[in-house]
Amino acid sequence: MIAPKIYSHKYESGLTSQIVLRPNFNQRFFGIIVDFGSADPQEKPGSAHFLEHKLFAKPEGDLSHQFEKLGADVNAMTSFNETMFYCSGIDQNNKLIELLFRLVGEPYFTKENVAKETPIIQQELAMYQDDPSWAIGNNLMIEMFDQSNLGIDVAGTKESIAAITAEDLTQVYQENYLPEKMHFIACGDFSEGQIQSITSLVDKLQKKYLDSSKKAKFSDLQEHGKMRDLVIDSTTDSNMFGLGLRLQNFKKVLSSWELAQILLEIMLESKLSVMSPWFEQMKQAGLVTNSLQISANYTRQGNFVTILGLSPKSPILIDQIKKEIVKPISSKDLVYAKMFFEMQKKEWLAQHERSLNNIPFLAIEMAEGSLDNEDSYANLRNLQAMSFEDYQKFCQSLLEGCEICSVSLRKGK
Amino acid sequence: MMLTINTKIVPNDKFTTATIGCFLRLPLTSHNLAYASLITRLQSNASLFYPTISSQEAAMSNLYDLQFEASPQLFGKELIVSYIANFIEPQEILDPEYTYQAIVDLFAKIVQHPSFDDELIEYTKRQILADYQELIQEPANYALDRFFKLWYQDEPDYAENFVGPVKEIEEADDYSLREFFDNMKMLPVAVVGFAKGSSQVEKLIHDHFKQPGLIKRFMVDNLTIPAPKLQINEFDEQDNYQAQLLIGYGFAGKMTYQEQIAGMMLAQYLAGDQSSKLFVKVREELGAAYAIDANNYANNSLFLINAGLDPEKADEAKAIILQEVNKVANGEIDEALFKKAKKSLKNVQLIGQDHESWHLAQLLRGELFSGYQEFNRDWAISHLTMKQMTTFAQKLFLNESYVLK
Repeated sequence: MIAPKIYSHKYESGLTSQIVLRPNFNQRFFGIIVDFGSADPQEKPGSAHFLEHKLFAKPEGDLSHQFEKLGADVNAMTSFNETMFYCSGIDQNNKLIELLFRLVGEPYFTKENVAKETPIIQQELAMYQDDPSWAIGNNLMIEMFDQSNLGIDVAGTKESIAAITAEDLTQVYQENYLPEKMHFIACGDFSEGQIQSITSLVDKLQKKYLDSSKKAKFSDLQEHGKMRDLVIDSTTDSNMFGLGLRLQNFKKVLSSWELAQILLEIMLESKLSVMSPWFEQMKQAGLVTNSLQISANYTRQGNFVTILGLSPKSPILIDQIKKEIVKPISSKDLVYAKMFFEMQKKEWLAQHERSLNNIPFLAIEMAEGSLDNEDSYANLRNLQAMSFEDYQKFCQSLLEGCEICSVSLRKGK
Repeated sequence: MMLTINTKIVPNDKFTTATIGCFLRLPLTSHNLAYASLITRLQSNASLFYPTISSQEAAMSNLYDLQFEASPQLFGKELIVSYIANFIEPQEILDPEYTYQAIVDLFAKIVQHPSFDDELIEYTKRQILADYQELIQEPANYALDRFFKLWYQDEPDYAENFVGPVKEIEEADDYSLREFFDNMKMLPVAVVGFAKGSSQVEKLIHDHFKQPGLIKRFMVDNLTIPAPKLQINEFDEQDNYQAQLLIGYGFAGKMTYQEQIAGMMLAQYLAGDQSSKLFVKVREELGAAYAIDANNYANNSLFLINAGLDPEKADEAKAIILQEVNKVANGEIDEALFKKAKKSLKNVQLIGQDHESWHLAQLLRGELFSGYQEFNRDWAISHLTMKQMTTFAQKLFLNESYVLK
């Protein structure tokens, strides 16, 4: 396993940075990630996402046009605890970095430009809402975390989007876009000279744009939903369903959230993937045809797993999944479980190797890891060295006291 | 005279993973598409040497998560049955049992020896139909399906987009599938890819793949489907949050490679990024959409513009789209935007080279399209003129407008 060469730096303002080298690649990727997202405190749900959209507005118009003049792509994304702005191009490194800092560091919110953005974001939300999986995911989050910022969609609701003003955005920006909550990343093929030039340019720009006089605050207030088994009416013929596991005892494994997440996903895959004896039984019973999508997540406002799938008899399958999750491994299944764990070690090693070929994916993963103080390479080494017995113990502990809810569709309503 | 064998494995000097693709060519018909969908899904599940889903999954997982993808791809009048193996380069992993030999052996077994177990066939049919049923629930997919069914209403063999006719899949059995697979053995085949040990992999390919189709002509002189002449203006109601608008222009005549570049440039100019014409007019000024797309389907003689829109603004958005395409056809082009689009397109090509799938697609196109390897795309993009883009737009005729509300 070879890790890419990384140059890390911490600046006076508290901003941290990484330059990740990937020789022979044409694409140069630059990003600034902010440790603030949709689930973090904000009076009106969707403000973090609205802010992500509106930072592109500058007095002369949409800043993305300046990036595109350089032949570069620019975009941004908001997740539960993070917002990231990024661009990529072939050349013009310094100009792209200057634009990126201006994008994040120079807010320009007016009544007019905020009003103009409202219908666009409402259309973004409408685009997701037309997908049946949105109803499943959205209701699962509300069942787990109620009408909190974590429970509500990242984009907010149609009403909360309409209520956001320029003043709201300014306040959220000033409270959260602080250098000690930010990380800069560059990824691609850079010469020694370019590395030095990027480092000193970032130094200059963080002084120009980032206000280090305020201290960052974090809130980990957790809301609790009703955790019901919900059946919702649907006008579609979708057979989709979902389960949500609210994890009360999810904690770091070997000092890492990421490793805890990986172990939990391996354990759930071991029980529920197409390779499992359980899946074979469900297949024989005509309850399931396609693999389930399992995803473990950790946020400041709560830790959870979502399991999404398709079944013509979803209430029965949901019941079977619940039983399987809490069932201890029988001696009959032990050989399979050990074999599966060893195979997963190989799969995670392969995933690491694959990530090196995808510049944006690698950069975003590393930037996210950096905010959480995660070392993915150390986690991978720890996973490779872990015994089956330790893996089992960790997983049992992580799942202790977990609560399960579900959402399925009542078709044709 | 030496026989030409359709294999080409080139050196990989960039990626930590290597890729091999095995491609079989047959005419596109709705029957062939349904059977190709079913058989490739069957092979993705299990095969003669790995008769259960779990045993085949385990075999791939043990080869450091070898990723096997089998699916039909549509290229105009031709259907390509595509098998792709992407795997970690053995030299990245210090495991003496993990070799090119083990990888090619597994790949060849899955591709060449399917299982026709009845239970597996029935299960695979249920899988495909369940996936299709979900896919079509999404308004964007439903609208695209409807659009193509209208576009090819007089040529039903070309009208299917996803898995082929459901009825054909439901009625397939082990006998008909075996027969289809036996016929596949005689089809023209190309095996292409890239690996650090390219000559070793090429030798292994020659050892493992010996079907007669490897010496048949894989290349096709013309696979373009001419645009039918239509005047379609249709809409359906589903009471969705967004309206799906699809505007299809037919292209008069066969599109040359140079014209394909002009079509790509028009797509970039109209909807390639946030400063493109339609993005600014429909999203920023009208506030009607979150995103808008334009694509040049050269093999279908189709230039398609589509967007998910505020239903109340769909008519206005449509008027803007028609007006902007007309402006290009009349030579009214924003020169600064044209230059920007050109630079973006050049960079898209360069960034494409950072993706393994791009390299495999280039190798496949080189084998499939006559004259493709000789055509210098980079040069063509660099030297494309506004006049050429105008000429391209002049050859477009509005053929279909479809709205799903």
